[in-house]
Amino acid sequence: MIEQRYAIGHADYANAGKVSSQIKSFLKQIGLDPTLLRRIAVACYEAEINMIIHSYGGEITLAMDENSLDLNFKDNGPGIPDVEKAMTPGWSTASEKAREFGFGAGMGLPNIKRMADTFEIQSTQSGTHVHIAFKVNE
Amino acid sequence: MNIQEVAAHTGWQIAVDSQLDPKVEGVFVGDLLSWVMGHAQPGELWVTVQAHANIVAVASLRELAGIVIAHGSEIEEETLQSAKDEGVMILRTPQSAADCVKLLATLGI
Repeated sequence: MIEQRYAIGHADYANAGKVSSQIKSFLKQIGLDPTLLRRIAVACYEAEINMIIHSYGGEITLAMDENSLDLNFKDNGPGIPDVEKAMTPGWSTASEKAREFGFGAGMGLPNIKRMADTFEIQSTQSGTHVHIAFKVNE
Repeated sequence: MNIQEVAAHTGWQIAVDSQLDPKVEGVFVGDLLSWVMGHAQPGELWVTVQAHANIVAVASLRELAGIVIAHGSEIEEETLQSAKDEGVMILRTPQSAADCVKLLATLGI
C-alpha cells in the first residue's frame, strides 16, 4: 500500500500542474502501464487546476494497492453551487485572470470523469471532495 | 520526422532546445489548456498562442512532441526555465497558427 499527500495553494498559478507532474513521474518509476498513466495524468492535472483556480486550497492524496489507485482531491471551500452545471462540458465559472492563462474551458470535470474508472464528487460551502479511482490490474 | 528536423525545415526559432528529439506524430492547435489536455494525442506538436509556464505542464503530462508558439507571442522567462527543466522543446514563430499548420502539412505532418 502506497500513500502520498500533496498540499495545493489557492491561486498558485506558478506551480499549477507541478503536483500532477510529480505524481506522474512517481507512477512512471514504479512501472505503471503507459496508457493508464496518461489517463491518470490528465485527470490529476484537471483536478489540481480546479483546486488552484476555484478553491481556497486543499490537499491531494494518492493511495494505491495491487488492485486500484485512488486519488482524493479535498479543498477548503467555497464549494460548487451547482454540481450538475459544473459537470456540463463548456460551462465554467473561472475568473478573467484564470481565463487569461488559458484555463476555464469548462472541460475540467468532464475530462476527469471520462478518464477515471470511478468518479465521485461531493460539494458543500466548506469544501469539495472529488474522488477518482483507476483499476490497476486489467 | 523528429522535432529537430521540423525546426530545421520550418526555420522557426528554437526558444528551448531539448536532447530528447521526439518524433512528431501529428499536430494539435488550441489555446484552452483543458481542451488540449483532453483531446491532444501523445506525440503531437502543439501550436498555441499561450506562452505562460502552464503550457509546459500540459505538454509534459500529455507527452506532446513539443510546443510551437505562434503569432510571435512573447515567452515568459518562467516558461523557458520550466521547459528546460522538463525537457520540453519550444519553437517560436511570427506566423499565424493557421500558417504553421499549412507549413507542417507540406512536411507531411
